[in-house]
Amino acid sequence: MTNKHAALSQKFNEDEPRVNWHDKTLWFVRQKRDKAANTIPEWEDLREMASQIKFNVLSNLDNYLEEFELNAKANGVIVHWAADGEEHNKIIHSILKKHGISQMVKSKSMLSEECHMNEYLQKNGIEVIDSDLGERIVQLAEEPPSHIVMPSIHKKKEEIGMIFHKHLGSAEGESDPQVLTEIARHHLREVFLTRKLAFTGVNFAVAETGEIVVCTNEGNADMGVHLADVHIASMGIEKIIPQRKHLGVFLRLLARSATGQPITTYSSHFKKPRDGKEMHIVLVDNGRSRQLGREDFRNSLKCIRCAACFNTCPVYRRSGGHSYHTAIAGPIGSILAPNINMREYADLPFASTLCGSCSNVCPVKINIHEQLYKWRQTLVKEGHISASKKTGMYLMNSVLSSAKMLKVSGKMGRFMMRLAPFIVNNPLNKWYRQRDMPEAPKESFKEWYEHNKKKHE
Amino acid sequence: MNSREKILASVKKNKPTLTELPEINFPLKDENLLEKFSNIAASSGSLVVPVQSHKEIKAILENKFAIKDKRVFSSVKGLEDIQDGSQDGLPHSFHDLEMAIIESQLAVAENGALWIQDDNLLQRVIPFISQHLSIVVSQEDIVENMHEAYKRIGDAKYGYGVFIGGPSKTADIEQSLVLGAHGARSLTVFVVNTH
Repeated sequence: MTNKHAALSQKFNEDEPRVNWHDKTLWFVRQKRDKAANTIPEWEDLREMASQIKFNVLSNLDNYLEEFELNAKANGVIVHWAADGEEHNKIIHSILKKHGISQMVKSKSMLSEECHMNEYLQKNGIEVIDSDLGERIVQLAEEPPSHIVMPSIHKKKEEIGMIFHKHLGSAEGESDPQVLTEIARHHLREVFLTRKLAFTGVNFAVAETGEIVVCTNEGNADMGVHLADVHIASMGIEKIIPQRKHLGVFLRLLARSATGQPITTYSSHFKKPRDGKEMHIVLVDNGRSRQLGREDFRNSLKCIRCAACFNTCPVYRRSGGHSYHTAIAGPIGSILAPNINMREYADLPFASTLCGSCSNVCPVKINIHEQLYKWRQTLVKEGHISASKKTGMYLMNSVLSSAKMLKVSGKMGRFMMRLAPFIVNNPLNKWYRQRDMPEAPKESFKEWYEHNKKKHE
Repeated sequence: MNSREKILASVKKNKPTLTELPEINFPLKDENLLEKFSNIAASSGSLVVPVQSHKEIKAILENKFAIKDKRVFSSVKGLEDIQDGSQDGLPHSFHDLEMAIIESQLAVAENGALWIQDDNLLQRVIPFISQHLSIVVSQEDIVENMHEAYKRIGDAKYGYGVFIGGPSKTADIEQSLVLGAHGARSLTVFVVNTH
């Protein structure tokens, strides 16, 4: 089986200057996160607190879900439950049909990407317009988002200008971000003023009060919802937090971790629909309760979707979100996706150097790098590994577990590298593709030690 | 078994052993809250204007935003006469709103944000649909951080509430910051100190 991530990243890396630009851009966001975190002396305590709150949530999830539903219903909200993506999409469609609405305005929802909601609705004659600027750009470009917070981080302004020229009537060659944003503002304002149904995601859902919180910088969630007759908000069941006051902890961590801002421009708390209007919340499982049962991987459900792990990951920075071929890319995506489909996403936990930077920046202290390692073991046990890798690992194991074998192969390797370097310095050696092989030392450490030990005795 | 029952049963079966909730207890730093609020709000793109009266606010709005000829909404007690145009309440009718002036009873120093509840608003869309937004808050209503803010909010029974931390913005095009994505293009915060 081919390693999809490796093949896709190879393609991405054909344009080295572009990869360097992508890398630099994302690292800059990581640096903004560091700056923001350093302004909070109690940052590490906040992380620990958030982690403990989320542990409690996972350990009491069924009760919190029932509490949330009860309180949301008391607020006049209609609550739905969807076992998987297909059921979720059918529920959304049925609400649209009930109201005779065929046009929907959407603000960012990674869950809807996971459920492939847009395609489903479009196939059923519903027009869906993404109102987050980054999402609108990739929607017009007919691509999936490459980052969960900055969906079109992979696109240059000239490319965006071309997309807007083609679809929104901007001048050819226009690439000024200010001008392009103004064009998008006018185009989407028309959409907000005419759509009767608005769909949003959920950043946090409060069990104690039945309210949901949506965080945006653009104000698109609010523009859509406050002008619509029907609001549908979809959420993964793990988005629950116990009490309203816990929002204080998470809202202090979220934007700082995601973009380095002290808070997003808008943190909107939706509790009741406007008079005479409708509000729906759809609770989605889609593999989450199964992940909850995996002792090694359940902590991945603590995720608050900030993407700090993406921004720091050297592999993500230099391979891009599309190389992960899944709705949520990066380190967190690599430990969530195999739960959804082990065969399809077996390549992802291997798309890592296990450097641990992700775990270091995660605001809720998910042990991402440890889970990446554990997933590798699970995937190999389940047989989701290529024959060549399997053979390679067996060979390495036999060499590394025998002192004699190690001595002999080491000596042979050093000899060959010194006398016939073309044996390793050629395109067949994957390690040679973008780097020079190291100079082979004359002796192994063991040989040097034996030699020098005698000298100094 | 419907999906609700299936999901709850699956969660119940798979959840780990119960762990405790932590206590939220961060000591306050006793800083100059107005200064901190002003600095952070400014770096988020807001304009912070300390004033001593509502008369000052009116003068500044008329000079800086030339509101005399434009549609204005005000829900601030003492600034009702700034309003222009019908305020009949349908959200779409505010599409040509140039300036909205609303009140807040809570501001947060650590992030420059102000808390607005739906009882401060005639229509929820007003702070977003208006081209420009002004918020009036009392200096004594500035708290240090979000924990203090939620203590103040308590169990308020709003239908909708929002923390507004600056003008609408986006950096989706090559990380270039642009103000005025879909919401208000500017945020002016009038901090009233009547002492």
